[in-house]
Amino acid sequence: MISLTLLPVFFLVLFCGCGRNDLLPGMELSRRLLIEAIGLDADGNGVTLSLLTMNTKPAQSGSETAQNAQNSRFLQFTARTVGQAATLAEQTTGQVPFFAHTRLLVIGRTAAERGVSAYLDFFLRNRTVRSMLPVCVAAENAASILSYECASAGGTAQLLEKILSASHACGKCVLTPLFLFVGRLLSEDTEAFCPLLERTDKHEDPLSVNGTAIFRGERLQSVLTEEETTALLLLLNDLPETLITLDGQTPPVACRIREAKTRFQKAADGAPAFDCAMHIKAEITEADGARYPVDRQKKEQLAEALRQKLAETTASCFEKLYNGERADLCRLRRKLRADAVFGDESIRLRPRISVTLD
Amino acid sequence: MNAKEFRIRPFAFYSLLFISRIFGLLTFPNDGTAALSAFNGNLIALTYIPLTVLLSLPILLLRKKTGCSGVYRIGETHPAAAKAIFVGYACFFLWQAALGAMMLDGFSGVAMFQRAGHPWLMLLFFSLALVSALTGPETAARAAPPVLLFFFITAGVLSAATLPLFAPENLQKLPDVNVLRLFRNGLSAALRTAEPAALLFYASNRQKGAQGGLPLTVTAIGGTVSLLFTLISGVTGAYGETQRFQFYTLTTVAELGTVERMDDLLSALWVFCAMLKTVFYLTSAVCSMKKAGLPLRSGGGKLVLLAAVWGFYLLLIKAETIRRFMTDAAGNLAQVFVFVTLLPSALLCAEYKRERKGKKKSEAI
Repeated sequence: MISLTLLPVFFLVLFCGCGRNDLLPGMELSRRLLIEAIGLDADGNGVTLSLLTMNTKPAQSGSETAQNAQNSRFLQFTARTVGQAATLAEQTTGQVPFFAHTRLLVIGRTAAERGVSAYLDFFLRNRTVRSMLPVCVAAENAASILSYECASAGGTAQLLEKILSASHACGKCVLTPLFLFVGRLLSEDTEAFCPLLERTDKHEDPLSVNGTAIFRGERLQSVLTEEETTALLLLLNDLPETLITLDGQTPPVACRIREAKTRFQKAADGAPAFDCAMHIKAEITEADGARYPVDRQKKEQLAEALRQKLAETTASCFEKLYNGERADLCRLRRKLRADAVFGDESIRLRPRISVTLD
Repeated sequence: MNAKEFRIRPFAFYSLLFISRIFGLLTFPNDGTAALSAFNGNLIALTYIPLTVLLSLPILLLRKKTGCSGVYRIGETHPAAAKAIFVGYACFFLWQAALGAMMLDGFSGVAMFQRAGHPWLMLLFFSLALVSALTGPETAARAAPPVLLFFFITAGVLSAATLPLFAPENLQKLPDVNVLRLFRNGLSAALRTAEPAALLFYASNRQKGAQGGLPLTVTAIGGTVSLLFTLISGVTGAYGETQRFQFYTLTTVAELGTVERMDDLLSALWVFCAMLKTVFYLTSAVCSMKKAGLPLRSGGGKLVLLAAVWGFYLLLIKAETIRRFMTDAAGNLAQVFVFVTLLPSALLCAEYKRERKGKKKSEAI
């Protein structure tokens, strides 16, 4: 009997939460500023917060459908701190910023070079920000990336998210969620990295991933090229299916790496080096087999070419990271307890690659 | 006084204890002075186990000696003192229930209804908890095992979802060099464990299971917290240390197949646990009030209590000063020490004294 009496009260209270009046101060959707993407740029002593927000206002007329109504708005606020800029956003739009739907956080190059800790703290303390929020650095400024007007239905934020995941699936881009980025940023034994986004003048390809931004401490230190990014993914044991074009082959040959496993070991002879065993399973995707049949001998030759190419690119990437930037991205010092290896001498990578080509 | 009306299975009681405490520990351990690494979290969880058992020892001994009539026996010689103790415990349990409800309030403010109004929902929550408490301990006892199962299923799903992100190198952190701080944290966690006080009021079907259950349950709590802390630290690394609710952070990175975020699962679990914690304390409060002789069997008595609790929670919801006072007072751990350790110790001493007197009398005869 009691439960029967309470049931209508329960639903009455539950549904009243959706309303908005003085008695029951609920939050309507139109009062939320649903943020899809965040951009952070350094501006003098302050910060410029760029926001791509979802348009939650209903269509004004019957002819204005969701398709042709503007999907998202681009807003910019400059203030001394990120929190102040967010408050400014609330004051200007009359809506409360809500970060739970954010798809991307883009940090402008200047802000990244100055140091990102101060900019990120607001997002670490804000409980609505997702830990899995992907972080990127813009090749120039974040506003230029977010201000791109995308004609497709999903808007710019969705397009950027798709570009990132597709590039990662091709092995051309790292994916760094906020929790991993900050974890690496705060860690004493490694450095943070994230994708580098670029806006170009090309009509068909205005937004693209152009390598990997490497941090030293909290500051942007250097940038890896697309090829080096693939090598980095291989070193991190995180390489997805990737297409590799083999140089110097006639006709041109391309292989798809289906599976890659990487394992590091300290050099047994005590040299300042790491032995790196890589097991690669790949398949030929393009070799003009109609004119030049791929027999067993040719396969072996191609496997050797692939092995050499991977050995070269990984060694050069390792050289750049460990001796050039002194950035232990693979966390070898801690994983292998290899403090002694990280002396003044330069560290070498000794790749041992086995390739199985189908 | 009839103790039979508060009978509860030991498993149900310890399930209630587990549920009531686990979230307090999962969200509390850091004292705010430094980031909490996995190593420190585990050390605190392991310190918590012996300290809690030690602090609850008087209750366990008293219960072993007198069953659940430890306080009532005082009433035979000092009825006013017994009544005062029962009322004191009732107030203590009501206070703990309010703190449990604040736990939900705090979480809802963080994860469920950001800057949106939810006081009426909270009031409904309190009312439902009170109604179930007035129906007797059976309601809480029956609800506890399924919620416990739900907790372990959730923990299992979260572990499965986050294990691919587990990086052992995130764990290799040296323990805090400040041993005193670690001990203080462990003691503070133990001093928040108010649940054993309810052992004085619940009789069990099998008395044997009731005593040994506490160390086992506390060990299970410490072990579970330790395991989850290892998982949290291994997955979230230094990022997790920047977060206030580390377990919540773990759920936000958990993905299983197409289910991208698991924090809703935690929200549901949190609501269940906070609800059961509130019901548990309110039931204990009702039990001690009944033992104090308050007329809670009559409809009028129940209505008065309902109105009083409603009034209090309305105040809690509306008055910011009271909320602030409660938050500050929640950090004052002396109250738990008084009701879990000190008072039962005094009762135990009185019991020994009484026994010795009885012996002397029989020897004299």
